[in-house]
Amino acid sequence: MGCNIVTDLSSVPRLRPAAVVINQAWCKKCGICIAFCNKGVLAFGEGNRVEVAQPENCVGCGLCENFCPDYAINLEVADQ
Amino acid sequence: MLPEIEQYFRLEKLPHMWCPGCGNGIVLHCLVKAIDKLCLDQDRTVMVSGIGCAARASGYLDFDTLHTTHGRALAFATGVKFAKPELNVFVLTGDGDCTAIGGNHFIHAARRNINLTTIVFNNNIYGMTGGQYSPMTPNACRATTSPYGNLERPFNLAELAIAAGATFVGRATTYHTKQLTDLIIEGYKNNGFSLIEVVTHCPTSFGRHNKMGSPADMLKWQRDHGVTAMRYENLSPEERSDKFIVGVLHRCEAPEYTAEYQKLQEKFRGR
Repeated sequence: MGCNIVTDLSSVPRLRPAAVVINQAWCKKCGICIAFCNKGVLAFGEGNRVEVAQPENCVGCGLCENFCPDYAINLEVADQ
Repeated sequence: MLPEIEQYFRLEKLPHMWCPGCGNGIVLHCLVKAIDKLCLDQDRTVMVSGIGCAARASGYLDFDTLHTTHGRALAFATGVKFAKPELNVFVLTGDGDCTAIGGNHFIHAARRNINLTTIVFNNNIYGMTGGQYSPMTPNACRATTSPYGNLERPFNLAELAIAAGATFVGRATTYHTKQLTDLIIEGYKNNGFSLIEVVTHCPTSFGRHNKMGSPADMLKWQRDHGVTAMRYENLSPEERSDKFIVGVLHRCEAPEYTAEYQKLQEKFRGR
């Protein structure tokens, strides 16, 4: 899979692109992932469901998965 | 959750009972990641917990677990370690459980220098029972039992442990997840009593009473107030007032309790 993600700073090393998968059954909608995502990938959707609004912006940093207190986010990193 | 750490959880017990945004889940995540890095055998690792929000952690972990009485996690863990020193024993306890009800067990476990890795989830409050102030609630902070601000001064748990004789003391926050995982690994490797104080957040009982905002705002508060020892040195006294040091706070060598007991046994067996 080709890496076509563009970060704001060209000097920032590119991380591997990842698909953010949210386990809605475990998510308690606390909003930590949304607040800490620097790229605005996640957003509150209908009924305050956390949704992957802009998956193409994800740089695979893993902050959302790291901070999710409910283990509801899984970052599926593509093999390169 | 990363698929490689799923094996350490009792998945059928999830989602956990902690409130939305509670930091305890992050601490548990870091603990499991540390155990995964250490490659510990699940059948030779024991998780002992007391009573309270934090103590519920043992129920979600797929190890040999012991959910004990209030404040007595360290007492039960001492028994487990003493009977079977070859087991890896972790103690999961909250700030009220460890410093109030179990305060004596805490100082004596540290004094004996028994090889336990104690992780104190310090959320500054008794969350489960309705938000009463604990010995770790900062002065002037509000709780349901201190609606005009807490008159008492809090414990400095790390200094208490150092004074009591702990051989490894570290502090991290739920914001500093990588550091927390590393501290748990170092605490496990220390042959003696290890204390890892984790500054975690309780958005429901502590944050709400003290107008600290959303769970994310509380994490950002930890980011801004937890500083390294080096940075702390360079701060003015006024700047230091609301800051705390994160990282390894103390490390020393002392005879380990179960090893000393082993020596005594061997002496009387004439070996």
